[in-house]
Amino acid sequence: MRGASDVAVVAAFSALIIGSDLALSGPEFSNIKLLDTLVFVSAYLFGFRVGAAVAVVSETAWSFVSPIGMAGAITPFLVTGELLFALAGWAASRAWGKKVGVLSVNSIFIGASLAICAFLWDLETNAATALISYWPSLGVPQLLATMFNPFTLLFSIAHEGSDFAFGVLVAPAFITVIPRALGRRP
Amino acid sequence: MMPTKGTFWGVVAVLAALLVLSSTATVIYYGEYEAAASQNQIYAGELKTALASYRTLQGSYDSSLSDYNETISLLVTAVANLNTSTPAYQEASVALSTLWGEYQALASSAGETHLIYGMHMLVDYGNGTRVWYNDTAAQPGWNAYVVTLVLLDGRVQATWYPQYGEHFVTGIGGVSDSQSEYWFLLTYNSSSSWQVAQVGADAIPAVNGTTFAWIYCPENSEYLPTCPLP
Repeated sequence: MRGASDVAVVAAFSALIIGSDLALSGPEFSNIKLLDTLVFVSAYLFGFRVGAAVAVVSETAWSFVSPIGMAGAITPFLVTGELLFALAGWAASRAWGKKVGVLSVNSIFIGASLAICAFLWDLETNAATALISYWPSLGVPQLLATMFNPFTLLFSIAHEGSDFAFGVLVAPAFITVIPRALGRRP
Repeated sequence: MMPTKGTFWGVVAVLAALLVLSSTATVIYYGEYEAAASQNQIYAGELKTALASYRTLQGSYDSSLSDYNETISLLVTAVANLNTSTPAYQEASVALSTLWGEYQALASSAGETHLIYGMHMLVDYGNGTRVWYNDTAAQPGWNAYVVTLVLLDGRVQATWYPQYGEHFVTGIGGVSDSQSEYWFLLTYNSSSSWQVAQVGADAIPAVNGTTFAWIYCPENSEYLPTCPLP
């Protein structure tokens, strides 16, 4: 029974993520996604296993159906990076409990956790971009130039800033509302 | 004076001869007319068949042109999403410009009118060389990166970041980023004139009249160009 409800949770979160990704796929929302927050929330509420499943399913699906085009060889790196959010969500639930109010101190901690994960995700995927672009002749200068440049910085700022904001405002709301909707005690 | 009997029969003979001659000529020409008419029928039939074949050919040609148009569109989508170091990208990005030129020539000679946007692009190489590409044709669905690629015959160095859906352009027309100078993308609109693009080239859609520029320039501590905007 637990397995069935977990599958339902993974399916519901993944559907929500793909829908929100699509809604935020315009250039005006470059690198701003609810995906990270929702993976974090799923792991926070339902444990690492569910969070990781949501991360793998949604990121893999998005890598294929994104209107930008298929992500290709970088897909495994995107999925691996997304697991960070699941891990952070699970760890956060252990550290700060189930009660998190919007704009509370804990919500700021969650925002900060998401921002750190976003930073690490950008770092990891930019390194993967360098690996894929320059393989097999990748050198340190190319790696550094691909990972750290004004171009990636702009995307990173948008990613980290939006993840922080979603962590402070959206994640606590989900963490409060979803257990109530499911008839669970927080 | 009455004509003699001999004269009378002579005239009759001449008239009869004329009748015979004209009848013979008529029969000959009628025969030839019949032959010509029959030949005409054959030619008309052949012409009809040829016309039908021509129409089929024209239909096939129009369909081929449409397919050509769609193929270029698909190729552009592929090029815009390929890792820039792959041979497929490198070959396609160079071929794209030629294919687009050939398609336009074919479409215009066939009198075909496909929807094409006119875009304007400036490339400022930072050494006094400024090249304007005015009213250049772009297919609906293209973006500033693809337009740059096509106009410069693929001579664009870039890294594709699939996670952002953007190319980081590091070289244009054989001039690459250095330790102190970089390529900046500018957009233009009539109200605010030139400004540094807030998004990458892939996020600037090709619509009629879109104007953008690439300038090669040193940057300040805020990663903004220090040279005067065009």
